[in-house]
Formats: sequence, structure tokens, C-alpha cells
Amino acid sequence: MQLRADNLIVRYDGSEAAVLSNVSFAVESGEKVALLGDNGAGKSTLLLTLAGVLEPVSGGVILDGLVVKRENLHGMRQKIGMVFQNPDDQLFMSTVHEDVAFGPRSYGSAEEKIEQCMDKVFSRLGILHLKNRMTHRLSGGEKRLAALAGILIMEPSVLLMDEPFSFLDLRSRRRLEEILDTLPQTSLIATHDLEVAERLCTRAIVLKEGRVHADGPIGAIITRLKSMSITCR
Amino acid sequence: MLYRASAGINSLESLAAMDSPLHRVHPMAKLLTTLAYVFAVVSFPSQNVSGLTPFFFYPALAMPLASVPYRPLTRRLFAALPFALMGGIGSLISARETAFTLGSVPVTYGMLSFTSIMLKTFFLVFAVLILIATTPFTELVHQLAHLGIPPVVCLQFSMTYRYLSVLLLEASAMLTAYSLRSPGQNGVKMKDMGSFLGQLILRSFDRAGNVYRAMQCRGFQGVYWSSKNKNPRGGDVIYIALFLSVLLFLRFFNLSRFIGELVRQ
Amino acid sequence: MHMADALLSPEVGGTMIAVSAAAVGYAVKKISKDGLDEKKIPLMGVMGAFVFAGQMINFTIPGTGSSGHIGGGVLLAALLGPYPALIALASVLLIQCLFFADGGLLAYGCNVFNMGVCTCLLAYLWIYKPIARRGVDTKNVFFASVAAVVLGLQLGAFCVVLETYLSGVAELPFKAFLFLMQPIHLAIGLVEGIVTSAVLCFVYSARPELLVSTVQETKLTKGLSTKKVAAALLVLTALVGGGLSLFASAYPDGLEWSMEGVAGTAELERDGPVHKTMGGMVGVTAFMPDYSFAGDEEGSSVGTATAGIVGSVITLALTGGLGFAVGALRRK
Repeated sequence: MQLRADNLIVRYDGSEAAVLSNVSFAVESGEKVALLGDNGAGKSTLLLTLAGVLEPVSGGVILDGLVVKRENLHGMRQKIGMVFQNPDDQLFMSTVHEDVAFGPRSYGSAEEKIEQCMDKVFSRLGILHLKNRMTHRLSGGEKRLAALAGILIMEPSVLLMDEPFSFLDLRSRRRLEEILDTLPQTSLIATHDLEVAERLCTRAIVLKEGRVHADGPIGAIITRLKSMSITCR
Repeated sequence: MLYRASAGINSLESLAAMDSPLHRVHPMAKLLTTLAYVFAVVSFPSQNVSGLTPFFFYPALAMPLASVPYRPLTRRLFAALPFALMGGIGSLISARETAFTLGSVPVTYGMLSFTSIMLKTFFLVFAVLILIATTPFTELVHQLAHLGIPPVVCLQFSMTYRYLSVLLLEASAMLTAYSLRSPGQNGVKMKDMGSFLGQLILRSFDRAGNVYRAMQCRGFQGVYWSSKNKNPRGGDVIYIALFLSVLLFLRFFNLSRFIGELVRQ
Repeated sequence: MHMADALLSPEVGGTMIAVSAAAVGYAVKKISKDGLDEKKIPLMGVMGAFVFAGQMINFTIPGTGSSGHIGGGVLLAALLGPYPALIALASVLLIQCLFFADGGLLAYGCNVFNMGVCTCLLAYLWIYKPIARRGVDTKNVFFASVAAVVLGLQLGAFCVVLETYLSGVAELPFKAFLFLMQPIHLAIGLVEGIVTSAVLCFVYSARPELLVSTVQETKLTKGLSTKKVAAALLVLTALVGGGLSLFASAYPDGLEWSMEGVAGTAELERDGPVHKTMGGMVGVTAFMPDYSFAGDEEGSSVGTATAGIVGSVITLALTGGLGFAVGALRRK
């Protein structure tokens, strides 16, 4: 599914300064794009706007030719899955089972169907054993995968991920990378980890002070970034 | 305090995740029998001690059956004790009429009340401990929903429980940072409390904002609570029936005195 | 200030469960009718957890060497509004009751009332809101929160005394208990009130809109007056309490009769000091004088008393032994 940002301008309530100004780009179906930029460049704001949580002052988010509006927001949100930076914010129910079921239940899926889909998603992520665990007792890596499961069960066509590799140790990082690599969804991944970005994505968009600073093939962009040493770990 | 609280919750959670005959009993059966037990124990008049003692049967049998260790109990008893002790000691002081004499030792009404209050405290703390150590909290919330507690309240129980560990962790990190900069001091200075708790509140508001966004992204449009209950098995019905009949028998028949009379004759 | 199960009679405990359930039910109705701001759902959860953690942070009280902690009712109400605050506090109390034996299952109703309804609803609506309404600023927030916390705690402490006295389990003289509890909680209330106001003033200086919106929000929703709510709660207390007491005073007769058949013991008049004084009182406490089972030790002959004691020891030993055996078997 194609995801297009058309001249997005976003301001926070009561503030004059725009967090995003005139952001435009298109991500083609199945494409994996890295979203790079310093802290405060507007990456999270962009993702939240694309997910329909923040409303742009002007411009729009277009999903396969359809403009996301208030009227169709509920349906559109089902197609766009967003993985938040802090899994503690995302896993808000007390067991993994309840949390993963939250999305489909909100959309009125039947319980039997939820069970089936859940087993499929869990075995795909290799976390069947986590199903009945308490969310607050999971490790960082487990939390991340459980949060991802809660998104994947809604079968979104577009995945937005805010720093999916933060809070993870090396092993969990690799594991998540392998999983993300096999996902067919159109993806936009905000990250500081250039190496992972290079392996996972084919293209990169760099934000700077709320504007698209660069957009192009990942290799070229990373070489340029490294030479400028804007975002390096 | 913060560390001990989360350790206490953790240990009870681990216990509840184990397996035993009592763990396998339907959560609703355990909830109902616990409530019945509490009511039966509490309904004993304050000076009746001998009728109360046989109620020791529940903790005595359930603790080993469920492999619940006795240690977590002591801390909980300490929590329950101060107020009960005050009531007990108050009774000791104010009710000094002799009820009967044992040999040459006079036994006052206050002494009877005191013993009865202590026994009750002990039994009731046991009863709740056994419930929570054999049943996960989330299961209990599901049972409450089935008993008609509104969805908003159930969701609230569940989310408060979910964020306990997060907030305890956050608060203890702040406390550590605070005490590293103020050596030789216990707790937070009263004048610093405003900004200390205030900071924690502002963070909590931000966190709640993020949680709300995550909920919105997954189609949240209003409160709902969904729970599928396990089907009760035959064993659960037998458990309730057996438990209730024992309760009724012990409530209305003074087993201790009966045994005492037997021995005397 | 958690009320304990062991000091409660089933009538008082049951009544307070009904009253608190009604209060929470009213709060639920209120927030769903006003069209609850959905944002408040996660906020209530996170803030409930905050109160739980906040209560565990002890602060040192200057010049006394002792320490205190916040109760959180008024704080929650000022930040979330009274009705969401009551629901949040009720869940904190449930978790404390289950995991930490603070209070107990039967005392849960009392605790929700004493620490939740008294602070989030009564103290907030009677004290905090009218003052803060005059204009949210540091001075008003300070006075409003100190006064509300003090009043909330005074009400709560009074309820504890009343509940204990009416239960008649602990033979505490009403007046002495009252004169002990109220001044202590006045001191606690002042300290807690000052800390609460400091917290609120901090929040006000950083994000004033958080406090302003709550006051304005409750201004918009007129609905039932607080007086009506308080009156309704009172009537409910009287009805449920009266009903339960009637039931309690009626059924021991049947019991005594059956007990006589089973155990051959006769009805024993109950005359502890509390009940002597209460015998003179009519109305609410009418159930007390005869609320007694034939198993009471009091007034019985030395023989029955000894039988009771010997039997108790044997019963405890037997059940303990049985438990030990079960444990040993299960370990195998």
C-alpha cells in the first residue's frame, strides 16, 4: 500500500513554531524506508501524524489515493500500525493475551477469530510462550515483540516504527532485525542505528528541524551523513 | 519501601503462577468461598474464642495444598496488626469484668475479646493471602466483571495494576537519585516533596498521554471490557459445596467445646 | 488509617460495602453521562499507580523526627476531577487490600468510604472546588488543598471510630477513641495538606492548565447537588444498615433454638460494657443486645469454659497436624 505525505504542517497546541513544515514524500507499496534525524528533528511527530493521532494544520496523509480524514479515521487506523518507542506505553493491558486482543476487540472481531490470529502471529514471532504472561514482567526484548504482535494481529498494510531498537540488548536487536526483514508491510522505521537501517531499508529520509533534509537510496545518504557526522552512534 | 512493595507483589505473582490442586480451582469458586469464609469468621461475636479456633482448618490445609510458604504472611500480618492490636488492647483495658476463673486465674471479657480479635486477624489475613497467592490478579478482575462490576472500573483495576511496577520503578529511581545527593538522610525532606511528587505527576501525565495515543492507534473508541470465563468443572462445584458445608457446620456447631466435653468425660 | 476486618461486624462491613458500591456506581454513571474524556481512561490508571507509589515515599517532618506520607485522595481529585479520582482510589485500595493486607475484603467498603468518598467527593466538592473556583492561583490552591485534606482526614477518622464502635467487636469506649483519633488526624492532616498543596502548586507552576481544566470541567456539569448525594448516601446507609441489623437480630433466635437442640446449651445473655451502654440506645443499634450465639464463653460455667479452652487447643493441634501431613505428602 502506498503511503504519501502531502505538504504536512504540524504545530502543537498554542505554539507558533511548526514542528513539521512542508513535509512531502511517498513510500511505495512494500518499500522499507529509514527515517533518520537528530533528536527533536520531528521523527516521532511525523510518525504520529501519519498514524492519524496528530492532526496536521494543513496538508494531508494519503493512503492508496484516499485522504485520511476524521470521518474515515477509525477505518484508516486499522491499516496503519504504529509501534511506539517505549513498549511500556504500548502494552497497557495487564496480560499479553489481553493486550494483543485489544486492537481486534476494538474493531469488533469475534473471539474465536482473535484466538486463531493470535496463535498465528505469536508463532511467527516465536513468542507463543508469552501468551499468558503478565506484561509488566516481560524483559525488554519480550516487551518489544509483544507490542509488535499487538500491531501485527490487526494485519496493517503500513508499519510505522519509532526507534524499535531502543532499550534492546544485542541479541534481541538481531532477533527483531530478522523478524522485521521478513515482514511484507510497507514500513517507515525511525532509528538512530545506521547499520541496522542500512541492512533493513533500501531508502532513507532525513529530517532536520521539521523539514525533509534529504531523501534517497540508503547507501548514498548514510555515506553523506557519516561524512557530515550528523547522526552517528 | 518502594523496593519492598514491588518485591512483595512479585513474590505473590510468582506464587499465583504456580500449579497445585488449589491453583486449579476455578477463580470464581475461590473468590466466593473466600468471601464466605471472611463473613463466617467475622460474624463470630467478639468474646467467642472456642467457636473460632476450628476455622484454622482453612489456612492449615490450604497453605500446604497450594505450596504457599508461610513467610510472606508475616509481613502482611504486620501490616494488618497495628489497628487490630489497638482494638484488642483497647478491649483489654476497658472490659475488665471477669468472665470466668480458670483455677485461680480470672479471665476477663477483654482477654477473650483480645484473643478473638487476634485470631480473626490471623485467619482473615491468611484467607486473602491464599486467594491472591493461588489466583492471578487479572483472573480476579475477570470474576469481578462477571459479578457485575462496570467495565470502566474493571479496566481501571487492570491498568492501575499494570502501571504499578512502572511507577514504583520510576519513583525508586528518583529516590535513589535524590538520596545520592542528600547523604545521611532517610526519606525525602518535606520541603522537597512538592517538586519530587510533582515531577512524578508530570511524568505520569506524559506517560498517560502516550498510552492514550497507543490506545487510539489500536482503535480505542470507548471503554469496553471483554472476558471469556473458564467453564467451571465438576470439581469446582464440589469444592464450593464442601467448603460451604464445613463453614456452616463450624459456624453453628462449636466443635472445640464438643471435643473438650468429650475429653472431660 | 485502613480499617481492619477483625474489628468489623458483618452488618457494618456489609452496609459500608453497599454504600461504597453505590458511591462508585454513581461516579461511573456520572463520568459516562458527562461523556468521559477518553483521555482520562489511561490517566486514571497511571495516576492510580502514582498514588500507590507516592504513598510509599516517606518524607521527614521537620522538628519531630517522624515521617509521613500522602494519602492522595484530594490530590487525585484536584488533578482528575472527583469522580475519576474516586474510581482510581478504589482500585488502589483493592490492590492494597489483596497484596498487602491493608484492611481486608470485608473492610474494603469502609476503606473506600473513609479514604475515597470522604476525600475525593466530600472534601473536594465541599472545600476544594468552591475555593479553587474563585480563581486557580497559588494562594487559592494552597488554602483549598490544605483545608480539603484536613477535612477529608477528619471525616475519615470519624468514620473509622463510628464503624468500630457500631461494630462492637473491639470494646473501645467511643469518646476516648474519638478524642484519640481526631487530634492525631488533625496533625497528620495538616502535614499531609501542606505536602499536597506543595505538590499541586508545583504542578500549577509547570502546567497550570492541568488544575484549571479540572475545576472548569466540574463547573460545567451541574447535575445533582452534593447535598442530595450526601443525603442519598445517608438514607442508603440507614436502610441497608437497618435491614442487615434486623436480619441479624432475627436470626440468632432460630440459631439459639437449634443450638439448644444440638449442643444442649442455653441462650446466654451478652453483657459486655459496650453492649450495656448500647442497650440503652435505640434505633440503629437495636440489633446489638441480643446478637449472640450460644457458643459464647461469657457467663458460662467454669466447666464449659474449660471444655472450650481444652477443645480449642486440641482442635488447633489437630488441624495443624493435618496441614503438616498434607504438606509432607505433597512434598513427596
